[in-house]
Amino acid sequence: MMATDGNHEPTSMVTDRAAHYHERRFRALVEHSMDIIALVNTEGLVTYVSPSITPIMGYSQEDFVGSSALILVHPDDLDHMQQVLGAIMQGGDQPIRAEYRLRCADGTYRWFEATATNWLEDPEVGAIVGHFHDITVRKQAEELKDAFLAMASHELKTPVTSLKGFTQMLSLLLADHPEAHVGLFLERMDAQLDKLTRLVNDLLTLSHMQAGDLSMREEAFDLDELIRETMEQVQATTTTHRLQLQGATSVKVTGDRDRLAQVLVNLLTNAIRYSPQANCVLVRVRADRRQAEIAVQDFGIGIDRAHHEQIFERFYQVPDQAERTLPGMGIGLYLARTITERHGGRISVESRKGKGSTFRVELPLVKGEQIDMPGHTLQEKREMEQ
Amino acid sequence: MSQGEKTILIVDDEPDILLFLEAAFGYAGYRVLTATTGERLFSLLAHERPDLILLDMLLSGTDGRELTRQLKGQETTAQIPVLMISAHPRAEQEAQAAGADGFLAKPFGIKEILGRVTTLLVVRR
Repeated sequence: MMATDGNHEPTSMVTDRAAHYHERRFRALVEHSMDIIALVNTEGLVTYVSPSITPIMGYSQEDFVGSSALILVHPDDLDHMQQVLGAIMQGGDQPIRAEYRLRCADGTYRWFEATATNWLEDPEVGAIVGHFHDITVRKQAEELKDAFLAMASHELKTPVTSLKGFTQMLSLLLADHPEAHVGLFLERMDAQLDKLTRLVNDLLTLSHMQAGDLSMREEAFDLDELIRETMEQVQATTTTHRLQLQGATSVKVTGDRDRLAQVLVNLLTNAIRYSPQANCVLVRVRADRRQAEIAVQDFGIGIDRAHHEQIFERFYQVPDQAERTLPGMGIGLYLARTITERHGGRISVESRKGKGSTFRVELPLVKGEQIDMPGHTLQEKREMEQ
Repeated sequence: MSQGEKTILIVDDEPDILLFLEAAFGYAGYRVLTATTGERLFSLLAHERPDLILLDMLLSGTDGRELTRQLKGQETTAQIPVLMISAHPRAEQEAQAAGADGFLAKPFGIKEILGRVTTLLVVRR
């Protein structure tokens, strides 16, 4: 028994009360969380689940204790989550994040963003602490948006097909028309329809990228031929700029010809759009044994260094006042980078404000360095190799 | 530009696409038949022997892929080349899997589609 002077409680009682106070406070925090909080032991079994499991998933707290942490995982997410759990078990003090589906009491699945931290080594916690945030509504909105984009771009193509068909038929039928402008106007209509088609294709590609199902063909093709063809197509849509080709690669590239054409079209149309005072866009190409390089140079408004990284991000628009009058969809460079990286290549920019821009695409030629890991960007690939 | 009275049967549920394709193939010297549904396609085939069928992949009512399987599964129609068209540029593999002899993504140019048809007819000859 400890000595007291009558005014003070024994230290052990103070400690007990303080501990009790802390316990109550943290219990209140955990029990009133809108998210689900769970503890998992070394064997991967659940030892505690917070009461929010009931309103969110329809289970009682007791339903879970003693069962595997992966028991409710959607079959399609199970492989991935087994790996994630393995990584968490291995330790490290960094929390690990994952998005996956769990089965609710009524049999439906809900999406969760889970964050888990390994506290197994900490004797006072001795558990993996998991935090589950319900993101079902966000996921549904994303899926809806992707489905809408895919459907909308498909729907847009039907009228474009008819318009293109009628325009070309008119060109054939009016080939000898005495009014000289008729042929020219029809030609421009046709070129603009091609431009519209490419915009629609960009939207469709974006929706596939977002849905994570961007497929890439793998075929060998002549790179110079692709560059020439693409430049001709884009040339037909402009009267202000002359597209000038310098050099040749004389190589065959293995990859998705249409998607690489998309990259080039986006760089060329950007070069034209962002150089309204200029009259020329320079395309310099070359290749060595390792890689092919395509550089698209314009003599336009240029990009401040501060934006060099962000311009490759989705929907990014350079926020300067001068650029506001030159809008785009903000997806061209994002698509260009994603497609280039999926080919094992690299895209970069050299530019200064008011001094024009050069966008450089480097594509590897060495077999085995390209598209051997579909579904992953070069950066992810590098991370995996480490 | 005469094609020696080759007959093309075009199936698409979009009347304007049918209209310009009919004009384009007519202009190039083909005899053109059109249908907007799978039902109409098979009723035409009861008394017609087209040299090639141009088929939209997603017809309202019937799936062009299913129609292709039926065409390729019947002795009387199996030999007719089928060129499938679709607004989905990545549908080529599905078209091939269904047994189509060729695929063209919408929108296409008139020269492009005439070229593809000529090639398929030459291969078959």
